[in-house]
Amino acid sequence: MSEKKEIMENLLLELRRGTLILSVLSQLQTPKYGYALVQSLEEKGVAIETNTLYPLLRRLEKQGLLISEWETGGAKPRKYYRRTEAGNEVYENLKEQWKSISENMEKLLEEN
Amino acid sequence: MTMEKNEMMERYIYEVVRRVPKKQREEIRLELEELISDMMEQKGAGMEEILTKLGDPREFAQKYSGRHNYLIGPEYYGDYCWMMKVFLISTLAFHLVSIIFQAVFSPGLLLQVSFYVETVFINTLISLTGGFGLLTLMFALFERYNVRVQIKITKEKDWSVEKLKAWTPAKLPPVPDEKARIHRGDCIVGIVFTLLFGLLLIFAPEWFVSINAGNKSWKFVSPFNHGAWNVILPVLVIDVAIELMNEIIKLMTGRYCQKVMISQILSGITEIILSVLLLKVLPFWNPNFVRELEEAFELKITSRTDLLFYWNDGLVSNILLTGIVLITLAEICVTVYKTCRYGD
Repeated sequence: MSEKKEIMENLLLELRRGTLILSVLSQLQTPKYGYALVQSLEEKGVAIETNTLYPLLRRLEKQGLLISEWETGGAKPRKYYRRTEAGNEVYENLKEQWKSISENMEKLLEEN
Repeated sequence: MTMEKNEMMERYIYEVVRRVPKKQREEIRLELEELISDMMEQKGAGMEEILTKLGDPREFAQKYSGRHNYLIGPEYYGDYCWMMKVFLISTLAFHLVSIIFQAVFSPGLLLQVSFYVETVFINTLISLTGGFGLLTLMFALFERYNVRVQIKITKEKDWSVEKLKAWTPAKLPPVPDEKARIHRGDCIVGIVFTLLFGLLLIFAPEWFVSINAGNKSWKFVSPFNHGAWNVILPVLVIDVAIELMNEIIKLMTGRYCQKVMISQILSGITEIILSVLLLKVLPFWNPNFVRELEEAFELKITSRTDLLFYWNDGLVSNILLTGIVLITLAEICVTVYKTCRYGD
């Protein structure tokens, strides 16, 4: 039984992992800081672990899809992320792909 | 005794930051401070609860540095396996040959337990495990530092022009007729024997003619002319190399076809020419062979019943040459016949 549960958890993790980048990109048309992003995703029912998100943001920045800026005006320094031009392009592209994947999956799953 | 909130946070951040690359440390520290204070403000949770949610700092750091929990990833695994296979096979072959050599030169070794334990077992094991470790270490470092190495594996036909163009299904060769196939085993046996023959020629020509003197000592009386060996050996080595090349071409092609036929004809003709050069032109035979034999074994070859009574350089050369020519021609004929009949 526990083995089954473990398999299930792993599969779920894999499934979520694929949608992670798309979820993050979707929220960053306007600048957001890390924790605000966690919350806005959570509000919309997308759970993401904080210790996954922060490194992911860095990676996307390194790939040129996001750009970050420290804002020091407030009570404490905050790092804001937003999509770059390349990020916009990739996001639109991924979105289209996602739509077609999800349509096809829908069809597959309805068969049963 | 509870830790101060700040103290706990600092410890946590330190545990993450010390595991990430130096250049990123300061920024990650700031990021984490921002994150943790945000979580406290907006969730109203205690420090311990928040840090528990963030999880093991080691895992956090690992995600930051993008390192994986494996030594060699999928990007390198194929190359790694292939290199390992080549290395293990060649090391084993090397040891096998060196063991055979040692056994041949000092047959007494075969009676010693230490020979089997040290030379055969331990030395081979050390080479294999040492090489395995080095190769693995090398690839693990590639993986770790993301070294982009393009190892051009020359598995087969890498040198041919058509391989330079992209592969398309149209390039799939037809499945050869059963009779047109060249079996890998045959080629490998050919290659191994040719190699051994070549190695012996280079390193131990006298072994071809070691003759047991009867009283448990070995005496070497060579029928070859060792005085002219520096002229003879290069010709022999060229001969072996050509034969080797032909066998390798057969192995890689795996079927009788034009390429194999041309290679067989060319190598056959060259071998015949070289044999003529060796046996008819160069001073190949030891002119004092019979006399040296008589001295070495304290006997007199006078009787017609002794085989060596008939030893005659010219005659032996002719017999050998006839044999070589016949066998080579037979090989060429078989190849030409099979290529024309079944090949493409």
